[in-house]
Amino acid sequence: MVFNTGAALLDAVVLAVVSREADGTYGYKITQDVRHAIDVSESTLYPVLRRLQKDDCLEVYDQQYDGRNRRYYKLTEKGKAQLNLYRIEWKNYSIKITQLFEGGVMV
Amino acid sequence: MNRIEFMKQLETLLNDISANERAEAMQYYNDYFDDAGAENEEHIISELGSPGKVAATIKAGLKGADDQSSQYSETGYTDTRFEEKESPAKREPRKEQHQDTQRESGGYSKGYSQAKQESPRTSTPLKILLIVLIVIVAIPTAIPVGIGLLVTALSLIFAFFVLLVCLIFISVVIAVVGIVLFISGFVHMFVTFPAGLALIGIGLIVFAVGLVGTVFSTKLCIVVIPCTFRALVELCRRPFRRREVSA
Repeated sequence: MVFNTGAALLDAVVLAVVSREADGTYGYKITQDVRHAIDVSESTLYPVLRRLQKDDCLEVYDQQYDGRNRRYYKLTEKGKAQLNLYRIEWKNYSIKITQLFEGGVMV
Repeated sequence: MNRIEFMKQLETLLNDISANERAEAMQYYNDYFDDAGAENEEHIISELGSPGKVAATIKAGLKGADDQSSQYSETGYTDTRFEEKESPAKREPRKEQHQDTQRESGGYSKGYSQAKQESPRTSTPLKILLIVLIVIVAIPTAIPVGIGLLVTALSLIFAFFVLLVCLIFISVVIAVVGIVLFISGFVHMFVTFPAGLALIGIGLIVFAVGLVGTVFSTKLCIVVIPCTFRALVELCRRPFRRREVSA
């Protein structure tokens, strides 16, 4: 991709991906889902998940799966609020950029 | 490298962070490998790069989160990649005001997608230029000095082996001289009996000394030469091994 993905946008994408699963989701799946949208390396997301966890946007829990403990990530209330904020910001931002690109009259 | 080796090296490299953080990271990457399945193991390892790179990413992530006032005095690719993303000054406003669009400065993204995106114009090209300059300046001196050192080391080793071989030769020659003296003693016995007897005696003693010398020096070679070779191989291997661990 030619456009940079900023830290805030990556946070937003991760929060959005996690929010799609009501019961939470796990690291490998998050990475794969994020990769559907943006090009990130396999090692990119751990620090992001860890930071979001420390900022109380994500909570983790372990659950048995296939005879082992798998770590699941889930949105907290704060995380949901943060994601909503990101959504609004993104909408404003992308509308402006799209208008600019497509040469429409600036509203 | 397989998964177990990868994780082992990663754990070693994470020795300097807290046990809790280390366990978290290990759990994450163990899960990751488990969920990816054995068939993707190789692919993931190659894409993760080296354990060193993963460890650097983890540590860079921790720096911003753990210690809000941390400084970025170190130089290295992890810091240039993560500096701005994790810098406390930039993290604070997000928590309090959530003015995210304003923070979208170019530098944020460097860490996220590799290679394709260029870093800010100032730092990286300048660094590359500096490295190139240093290399250009260093090559004319470094290569001759390197060759000189190598040749010196090799000739010292060679001289050592020659010395050992010479010891054997000297001992063999002494033994031969002993035999010759012994024989000439017999011949002299018919001319002057006491002198001949003395020559035989001396010949026997010299032969014995030569024999002992031969046995001793041969044994010395058998013991010392393999030892030296082993030491040399070990010496040559060491830098690579260390690099492997720290890479």
